[in-house]
Amino acid sequence: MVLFFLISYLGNTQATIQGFVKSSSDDKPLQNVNILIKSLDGTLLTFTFTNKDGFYTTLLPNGHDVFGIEASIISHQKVFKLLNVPSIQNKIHTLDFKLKERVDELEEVYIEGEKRSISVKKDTTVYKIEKFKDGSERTVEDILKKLPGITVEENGMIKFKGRTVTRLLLDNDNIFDSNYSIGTKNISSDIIEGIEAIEDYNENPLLKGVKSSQDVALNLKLKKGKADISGNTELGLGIDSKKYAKLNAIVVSKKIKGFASLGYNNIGENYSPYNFVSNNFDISRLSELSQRTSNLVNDNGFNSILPDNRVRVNDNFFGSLNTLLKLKKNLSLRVNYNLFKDELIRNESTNTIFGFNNQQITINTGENSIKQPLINAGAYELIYKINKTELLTSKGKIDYQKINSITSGFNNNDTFSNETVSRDVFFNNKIEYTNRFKTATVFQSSIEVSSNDLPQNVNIATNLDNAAQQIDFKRNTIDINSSLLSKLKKSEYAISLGYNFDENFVDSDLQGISFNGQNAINDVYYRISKPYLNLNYNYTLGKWNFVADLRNEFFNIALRDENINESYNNSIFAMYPTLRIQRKLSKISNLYTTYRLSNQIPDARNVFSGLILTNNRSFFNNNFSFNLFNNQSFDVGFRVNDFYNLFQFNIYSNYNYSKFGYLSQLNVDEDLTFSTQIVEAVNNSNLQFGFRLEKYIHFLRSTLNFNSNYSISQYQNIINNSGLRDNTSKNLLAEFKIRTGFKGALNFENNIYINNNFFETDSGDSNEFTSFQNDFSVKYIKNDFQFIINTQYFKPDLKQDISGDLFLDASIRMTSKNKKIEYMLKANNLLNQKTFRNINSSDLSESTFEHNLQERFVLLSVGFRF
Amino acid sequence: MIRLTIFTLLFSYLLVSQEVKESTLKVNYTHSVHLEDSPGIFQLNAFLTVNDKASLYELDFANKGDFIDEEDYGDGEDDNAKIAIRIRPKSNPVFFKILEDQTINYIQRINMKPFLIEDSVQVFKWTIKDDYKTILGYNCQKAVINYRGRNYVGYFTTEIPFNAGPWKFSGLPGTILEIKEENDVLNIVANKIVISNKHTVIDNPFKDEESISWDEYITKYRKKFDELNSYVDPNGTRVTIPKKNIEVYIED
Repeated sequence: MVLFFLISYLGNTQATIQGFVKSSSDDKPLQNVNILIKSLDGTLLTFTFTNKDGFYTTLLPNGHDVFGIEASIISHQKVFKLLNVPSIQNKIHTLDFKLKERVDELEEVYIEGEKRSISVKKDTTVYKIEKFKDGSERTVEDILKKLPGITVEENGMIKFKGRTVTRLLLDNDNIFDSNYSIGTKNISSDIIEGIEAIEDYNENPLLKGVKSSQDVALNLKLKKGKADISGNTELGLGIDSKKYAKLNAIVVSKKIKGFASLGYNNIGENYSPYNFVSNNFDISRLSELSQRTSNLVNDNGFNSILPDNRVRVNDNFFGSLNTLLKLKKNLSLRVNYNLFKDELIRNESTNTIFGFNNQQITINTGENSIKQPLINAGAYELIYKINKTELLTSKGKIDYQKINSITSGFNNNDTFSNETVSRDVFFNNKIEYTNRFKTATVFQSSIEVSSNDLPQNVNIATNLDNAAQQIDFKRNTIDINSSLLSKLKKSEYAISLGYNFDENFVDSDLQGISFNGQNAINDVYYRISKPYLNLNYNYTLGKWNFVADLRNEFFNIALRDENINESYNNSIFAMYPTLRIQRKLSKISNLYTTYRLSNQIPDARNVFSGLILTNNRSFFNNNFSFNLFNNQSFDVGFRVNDFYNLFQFNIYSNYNYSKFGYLSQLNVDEDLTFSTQIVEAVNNSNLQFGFRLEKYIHFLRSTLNFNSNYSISQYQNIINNSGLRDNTSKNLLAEFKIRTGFKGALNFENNIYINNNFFETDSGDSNEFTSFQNDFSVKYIKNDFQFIINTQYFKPDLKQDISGDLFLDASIRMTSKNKKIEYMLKANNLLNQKTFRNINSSDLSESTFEHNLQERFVLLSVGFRF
Repeated sequence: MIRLTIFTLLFSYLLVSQEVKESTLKVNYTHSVHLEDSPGIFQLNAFLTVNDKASLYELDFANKGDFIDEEDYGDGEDDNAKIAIRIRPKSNPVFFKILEDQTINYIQRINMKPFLIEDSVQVFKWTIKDDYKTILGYNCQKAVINYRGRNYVGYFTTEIPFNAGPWKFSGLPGTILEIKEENDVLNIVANKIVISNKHTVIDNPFKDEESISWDEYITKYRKKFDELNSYVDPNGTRVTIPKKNIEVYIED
């Protein structure tokens, strides 16, 4: 035993070298001197450094008798000494060094090797989505909802840090254009590897770095190794006669990139961008607002505070094809086609009591209606890259929509049936040329034409009489524009000069009903043409950012209304300034304020004077006079985003004032409603305060949110013979949310919503109601199994004894080990609420209404991935 | 008079020639990071400046104007603008080493919040290998290390008389021209070397700022990791911070 230790001790014995290194000039110790222990052939064997006292010590490697010891430091000349280590008995060798300060110059060197190309992405946030998934996601939209900074609105519109997402790219290619919700609502979350949010996005690559954009694009990065064609299919069957089928395919190859989706369901789901249930219109129409005309008869969804999927009783087919073809190296073509067909069933009864000037009018109605929308829409874009600095694009759309609606019911004691058909044909095309003739300066020129024709028929039969109404709204526009955009060091500017032509035709003919002193036909031509000059300037100075925008428009207005003998012609010059100032207070807080003056002018639906019948009891017309609306708005806010301490805080206020606006004059009796819009000095104002708070509480393992908004509005209206009424409405919205984040599989979430509305008129009449909603959900998610229960409780008014309604939904989902097959059991509205009662109040009336719901169903579905 | 002038010139020449020589080393690197759960490689230019007192390693996020990362949050217009993951830093992230104190100073973040860390070069315990390669004309020797949870191979040259290295790396008797993590998580290669006999002032970019030690940083990191594990935002998002980036913060 002793021998063993002795041997191992001897075996491990190494000689040590130590010593001091000093400066020869002042004898002071030198710190951090390299002591290199080299073999005779110059190979570096080991090394050490001197400490504060200039002392070093290290073991000498075995197997060498002679060492070269080098002491070197940049400030001094290096010294090299030889050391003989004849035998291991001499265990400690001392070797001191004195170094002279370096007085000779180093040999100057300039060597440049080959540099790897650096691919950098500016303004891009990359989400590693695996981190945000909890397994309950099915589509891209489900993931997006979970990514920090991203919110998805009811109509599918996505916002990133409050900015609108305008494009969804598939591996950097724009295949959906503005109808991107087709992609987000249908593409399976499993084929996506990552999502990039690209801020300051310009669809036109030549504008990059010249024009600051508020737009954001989301780029879906597909998982690698996917075949040219991949996709998924789902099939579901349920009781009572519920069906659900869906097929999605993605094609990715060198020449073509595409996404196709085909789906059918009658379970209240909507995977398309189109919505006929609530008043959200599809996102692609946002950019067409200045080109489309009005649908007076069929533009309303169904009124309800419930989520769409409870209200939507449907029979829906939706097909969509989106492709990008790379025809040549510098030429590509995008083609989109959508087909949408639905049959929506709505049964509704209302009880409305109008109370004003000591009068009371009671209206009871019942309606059963079927609405059948049909859409055929095609779009294209041809992109031609002339060279590195020039781009030519041509982009267009043809959209055909038809809505048939059949309603039968009663209004008080009179029965009626109502049949409306509206057709909507829309076409537009834009050709744009861009030239980046300097590094940071771009010239752009474009011409855009559009045409919209919207003929409608309304046929009403009551037990008293029959009425037939034909309406035709048409609108044609042309816009010619040339712009110069440039970016300087701290600022950027844009000058845009153009001409806009906008003509509207309103024709209508009402037969079967007539009223004294009221025209039953319309033949209106309304034209606004305007040369315009827009200036935009953006300046950043330290913590300050200023954005100034000035639009100058010279309106030429012509209105010819056959009902009125004289025609109206006018020329008006209008300026719209906007100023926004932002000041960063610290890394986590900022202060912002905006002032905006805008001038709206009446649109075509507010110029005609003859009566238009829109349903069995409603007539609509206008009392035209021309005025710029002169809207002024002012906001101020303060925000703290402390991500480290998981604390968010925002307080803001907003004030709006309009000198002119539409004054609504209503004439109501038991049978009919006449609504007239008058452009008048209204002095409408709105003052709003808001407060948002989010805080994570560690000992509860829970996150709390408190949001509230209080607004006061002043507005005017006229009802029957009341004369001008001054009204005030006050609205308080409060939300309180709490979510647990336990580490186990089980988690809870509870959200409370309270909405208080108060209306008051100058005569002292007032009206108030408070609605209450509580959502509670339990999630159990473990590996490939998940179980989710949701409950929603609604009480239309806390003060009245209308009972509240409770909804209960549940779902179970299981995925096979290889993730190719998925089983799902979905149960909706388990308590089988058949109708929902709600209250609507205003300064004029209070109404209780009750409508049908998507009834209880249980659906079993299987999904395959290929 | 002429004599006096000659004498003055000669004297001043002697004075100058006896002055200590100060030189500067500048190395440009290509700095690539590819974290395991990240979809892409994150690659940028980096500049190392060294004199006989200090060194500064600068990752070029800002200067070329071609980068983003994570600082300038919450400038969205809407109230929904909640979380940002982005910085457009006005200045580049830097790693500052003082030779005499054997310290490394740098900013490292926890869930976006920056902390100034004063770390020690003593953590680098290299083993040198009898293996060589030439980088930009310099004969470089191989050295290996396990540094904070990962294995690295480094190549350094004693032909350049400065002790310096990219990022936090140091502790070798020469200039480190290449660093490679075994799984390519970090890959730094020199592409340009300039040695000049000019004096360069390297100011401490973090002068008088309060710093914490690496151990304190790790303690804070673990606490925040635990909190974030239970945080859920209104959309149901559960944000996590990773257990490891280049360095391992939390052992599995």
